[in-house]
Amino acid sequence: MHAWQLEAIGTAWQIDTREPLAAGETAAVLDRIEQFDRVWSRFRDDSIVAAMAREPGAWELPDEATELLGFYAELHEATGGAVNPLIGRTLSDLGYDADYSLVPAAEPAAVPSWESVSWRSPVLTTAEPVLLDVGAGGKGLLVDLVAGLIPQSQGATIDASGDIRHGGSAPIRVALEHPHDPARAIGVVELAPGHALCASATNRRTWGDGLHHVIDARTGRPTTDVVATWVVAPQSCMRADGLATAHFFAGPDVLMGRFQHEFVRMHADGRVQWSPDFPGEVFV
Amino acid sequence: MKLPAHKKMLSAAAAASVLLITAACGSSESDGASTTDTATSAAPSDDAATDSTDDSASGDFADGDYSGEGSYSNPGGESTVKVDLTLADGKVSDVTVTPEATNGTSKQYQEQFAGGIADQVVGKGLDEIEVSKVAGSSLTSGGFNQAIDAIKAEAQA
Repeated sequence: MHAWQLEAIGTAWQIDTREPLAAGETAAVLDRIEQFDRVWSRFRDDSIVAAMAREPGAWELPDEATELLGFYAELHEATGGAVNPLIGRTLSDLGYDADYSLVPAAEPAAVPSWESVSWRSPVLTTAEPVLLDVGAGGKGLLVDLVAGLIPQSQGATIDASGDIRHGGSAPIRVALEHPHDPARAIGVVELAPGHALCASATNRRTWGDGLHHVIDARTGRPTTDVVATWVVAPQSCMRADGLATAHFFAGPDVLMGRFQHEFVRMHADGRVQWSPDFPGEVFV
Repeated sequence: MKLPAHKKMLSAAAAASVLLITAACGSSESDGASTTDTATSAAPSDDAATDSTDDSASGDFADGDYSGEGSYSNPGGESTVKVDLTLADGKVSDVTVTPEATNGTSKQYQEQFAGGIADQVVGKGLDEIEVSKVAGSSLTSGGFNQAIDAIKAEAQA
């Protein structure tokens, strides 16, 4: 097994393959990550997202937007509007901005409604400047895009720090990190080949009392009920990623009824729930 | 997926549900729906929860049939389940979890989802389990970490 560690889109990645990737393959991966960042990052001024935050317009987005924004629309509907990629300005005002000021504004901006923009793939039309934040599904999508660049014979497992897509031939065991103690696990997943596992928790991207990165678009404030989620989904890391965010907001009944996945989630009071066919064990 | 591990999880889930319900009934005097024997305390149920993963545990609870009802809230609303269990030789020998939701979506969900809730998770040390990876929230970048450090330093100054 060969492990390639890199830093991309603000976090640590590791790509495990049977053999080291060829120079052309690593270059292609790095190039794809850069292209993605240049469109979607709200932490650089030369991205399309940054341009959309400066002025309204009709923005032609790359192919991956169809999948990403289409999925966002599904999540928006399933969560009653809690998941909405227009939370960027609010998140930034709360302190999680491009300069990491980490100081909340007195009155953070409200989240514009998803209906205030018009998405007709591949064009997003905005009537006023909006700051997109695709944190709920963007990283998972990038993992999928990177996976598509690596030959299947490599059996690659891509771990983008919390978002894991497993392409090997045997299952791997992955610990579910306890959100209050990184030295402990609340359970373990047996992640089958062809599946993705995404974890989301409020414990690291947090910068003040009750301030973290999981924003409820309905209130424009960080959510408080759920503190950590894990989702396993077949074939799509983007879907596992987005559903991990959705589980902060929506009832399992709604999400299990609409999307093929398994989940575990932990509430602020320590309660843990999981789906009946969750492929693993919860250490109760 | 190894089947034995999965089965073990489900039985632990069922026992944990009992623990939850006992706690819910114990803390809510006004919950008229409760039919749980009021003599129940969290401790024997706790033993039962342990029992499903550790055969050495023994209960100090009288053998017999017990029934309880409890509710829990989730972001989607309030859900109710009824649990019937049988204790034999101080151990849980049979558990039935019956969904009692009236709300349409919760009911539909509970029908496919009887079990899988615990009111606390002990967890295990990472050094006690064999895993090849850990899944938690994303590690933060150097820039974010430096900003946090700067804020902490300022707060201490």
